[in-house]
Amino acid sequence: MTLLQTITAATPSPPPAPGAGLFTSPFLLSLLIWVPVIVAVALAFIPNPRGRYDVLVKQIAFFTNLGLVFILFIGYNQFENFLPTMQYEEKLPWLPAIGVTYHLGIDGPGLVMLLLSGLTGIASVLASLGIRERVRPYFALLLLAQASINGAIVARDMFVFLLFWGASIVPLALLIIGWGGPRRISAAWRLVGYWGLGTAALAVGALALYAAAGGRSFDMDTVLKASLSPRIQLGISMAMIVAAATRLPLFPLHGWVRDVLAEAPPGVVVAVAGAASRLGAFLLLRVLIGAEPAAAHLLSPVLAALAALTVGYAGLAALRAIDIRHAGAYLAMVPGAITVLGLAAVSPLGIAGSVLSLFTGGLAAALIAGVCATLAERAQARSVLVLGGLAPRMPNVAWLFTIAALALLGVPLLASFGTEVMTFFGAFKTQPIGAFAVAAGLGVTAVALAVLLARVLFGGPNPDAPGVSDASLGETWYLGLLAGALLWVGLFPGGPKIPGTEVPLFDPGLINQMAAGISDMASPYVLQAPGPAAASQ
Amino acid sequence: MSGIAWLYARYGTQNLNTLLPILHTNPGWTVRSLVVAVVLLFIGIGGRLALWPFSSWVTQTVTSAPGAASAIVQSVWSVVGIVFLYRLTPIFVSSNQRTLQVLLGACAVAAIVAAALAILGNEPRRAVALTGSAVVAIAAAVIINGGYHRPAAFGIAGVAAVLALAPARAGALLAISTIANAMRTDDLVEMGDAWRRMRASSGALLACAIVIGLSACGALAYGMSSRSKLGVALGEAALLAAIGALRIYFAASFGPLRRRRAFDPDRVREPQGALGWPYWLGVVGAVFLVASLIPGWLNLLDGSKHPTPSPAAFAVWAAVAILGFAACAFPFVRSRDGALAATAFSGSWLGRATVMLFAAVDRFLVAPATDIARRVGDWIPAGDGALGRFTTTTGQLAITAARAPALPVVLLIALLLALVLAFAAPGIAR
Repeated sequence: MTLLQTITAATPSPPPAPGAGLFTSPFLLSLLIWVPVIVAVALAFIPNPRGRYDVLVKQIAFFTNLGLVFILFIGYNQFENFLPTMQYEEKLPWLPAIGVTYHLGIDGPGLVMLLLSGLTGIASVLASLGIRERVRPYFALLLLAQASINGAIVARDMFVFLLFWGASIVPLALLIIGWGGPRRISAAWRLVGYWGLGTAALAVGALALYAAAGGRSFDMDTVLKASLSPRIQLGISMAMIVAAATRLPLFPLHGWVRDVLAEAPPGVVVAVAGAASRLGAFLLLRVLIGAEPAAAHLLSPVLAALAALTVGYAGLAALRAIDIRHAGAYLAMVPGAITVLGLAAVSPLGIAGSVLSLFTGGLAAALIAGVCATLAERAQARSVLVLGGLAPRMPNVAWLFTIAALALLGVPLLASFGTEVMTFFGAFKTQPIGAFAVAAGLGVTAVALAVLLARVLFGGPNPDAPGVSDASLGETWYLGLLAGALLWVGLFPGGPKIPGTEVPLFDPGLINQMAAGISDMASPYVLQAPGPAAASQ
Repeated sequence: MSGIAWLYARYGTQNLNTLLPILHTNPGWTVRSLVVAVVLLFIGIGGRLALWPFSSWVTQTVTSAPGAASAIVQSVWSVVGIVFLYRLTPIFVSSNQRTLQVLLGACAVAAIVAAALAILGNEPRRAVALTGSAVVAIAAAVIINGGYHRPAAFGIAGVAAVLALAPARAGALLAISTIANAMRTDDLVEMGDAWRRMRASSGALLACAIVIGLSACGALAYGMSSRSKLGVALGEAALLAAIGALRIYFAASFGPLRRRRAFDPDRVREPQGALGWPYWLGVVGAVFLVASLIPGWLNLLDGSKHPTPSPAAFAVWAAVAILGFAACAFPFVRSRDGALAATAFSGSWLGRATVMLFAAVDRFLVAPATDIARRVGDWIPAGDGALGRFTTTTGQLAITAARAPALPVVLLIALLLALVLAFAAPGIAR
């Protein structure tokens, strides 16, 4: 059975993972939001005279994230992939006058996003171990950012979603202002401006959705299941596309990405390029694909065009970039465009590809942006005209940089290969021109990566360049974690099994777990595909 | 992958066993969609086989990559690629006649150009890579032609040719890498006397060069008429490939090894283990070469019966290769330095032309495209910066207006509005 057959077979009716559903918790998702908030508040208030407890603060942040990942791992293992409904749901009335409820829950795509958030959360703390100044507020803000991202992922109420979506801007902007590079103020304002615009667009879309659904509830179970006219769907979807395009980002609303990913400290780069940006595609998946099939069909060429423009632009801009962090920032735009191409396919396979792409794309984007940031820090230079022949002097970074490049291009053995196979196989059916254009853009990206690797890692060393050191243990671990996750899912998309049985060893397989809810979401887009069965009739 | 995805999108399967029977029966199939798929697949396979003009990834890396890595890449990937091409031949054949003619023409051009480029220039590893690429292109043409004229009858002969070529190509690369390392040069002009000083490597190089030169003979004898235009073109490529393969041996093995700065010819020795891999690879290549001429081997490879071509067909194509060897030997016997000076001269012109071509591509294609991206990258932050400043200014104006005394401001606005209306009213304008 080929990889693609495994993937496609897993999508419509995933096999139930043995041992799933043994554990359930009425507040598992709340833990993922509020534990980091509580720890962040505690960190903000504990006394730390002259940085005496800096190491303790870092340890608290790390172990908080580790605990969250442990909780998440339990949730992932106990997730029942054969159920199309939301799981681990929590529902409390909050503002009944306007129909706002504290409603949380996850399905397959939500679980994928939570896993991404957990991994990038740990990676961002590990990447921040080198922070020396104002350690307490840094880690408090980092935890708050992660809490808001988790909140947006698990929210099942549009109002709560909007709150968490908007809330994630503040800690990230403050982190950039407080700990960023020389152009940090401009970068932070750009982040606030673009993400603020996206939040405004999301607010408009959410309110329109609320009004169109009867104006009684913000609950996604109500607003996303209301039957809306195609015209209203179109209006709401366009607002959602603007919101998503500012986050992912997509051309031409990508103005923040270069400055933010080039000026922010590596830990923040990982958080922004990893989970925070993927919220854009997650929004499109939830609202456009999940609830507005008429608008999805109408706007799918627009999405495909945006994806193609983004990949082409990112590849060309990276080819021309002199600053290695700028190049990393442009390259980090590519996975988001692949995700959007999968959504533009409006087919079950393309949608499944884009769900997997949320995970793999987030990891690949965080890895490439993070490795460029780390390399620039360790080489004490950012210009590719200065950097050269670094592979022998920083072997760890060289290996991880190479893996990041391969992950962006989707080579076999890495999880992004499965993503690209599913996305392109889905997209060639419905959006052939867009798929060709994205494939061509990936070709340009490959050239840009080859030039960058050849010049920076494998070119002749520059005797006039500043001193170089390899990545520290923390940096190696954070980059290795991201690369390792890509390799793990690439090698075991269905999870390792106990030999001779179908019982999962300890990982039920991301490709199986993510399938919960996808077939429901993709059901309006199932076409009577011509195939062997049709031919034989 | 685009080609496979294209087929999957049209036929809903990527399994060849279920795909091939429905190529012309599936609802909604068109010749156009098959042509698109075939072109995409051919480009993908051509890149992997390093057919000219997709060969620069091999020719530009072979000089700097470790010899063993380059040898593995060139030999293994050529076999993988050619088997893939052979298995996809039914899809190629199901497109249309015009497409197949174009593909056959492309293979012939790729074979001739690669073989000709192998003769120009004096970088030995690049020459081995290009000679191998020429033979692979001949084999690809035989496969496509075999599927076209006599469905899948003789296509397997192309696979057998590449099976013979691959080990010989790897062996030649390893042998010439050993010689180049010992003589500390990548220029055939500066090499020489390897037959005396490095007999093992030189002998392995000779064996591998002969196998490379002859490897296309079986495929051509089985699958190509020497009287067709395509046959003539491929014969020309085979002739040039034979010249290109053997000239490396002649240049490296004979003639004086001159003293250079920081290089003492007397210290050139055969390294330990020289009688290892290159020899074995040469022997394996020779065995596969002999096998590629025997119908039983082809029967074994594809499981069907193959009639034996006439001995004249073998003789014609073997004569082409032997003629190539002779054409190579003649100038080297007459004047080795003259022959190498001629190839160096033509190689330098080729290098200049390549540089000019890349400069033109960079100037007219890459630079404008990247410049647009750069300008957009600069313009968008500048634009949103201006928007930000505009917002700040309007905010400041609003604050100033809010602080201004209300009555005089209202009176001033009323006065301005009255003036505007007065000037815009009919009567005033007249």
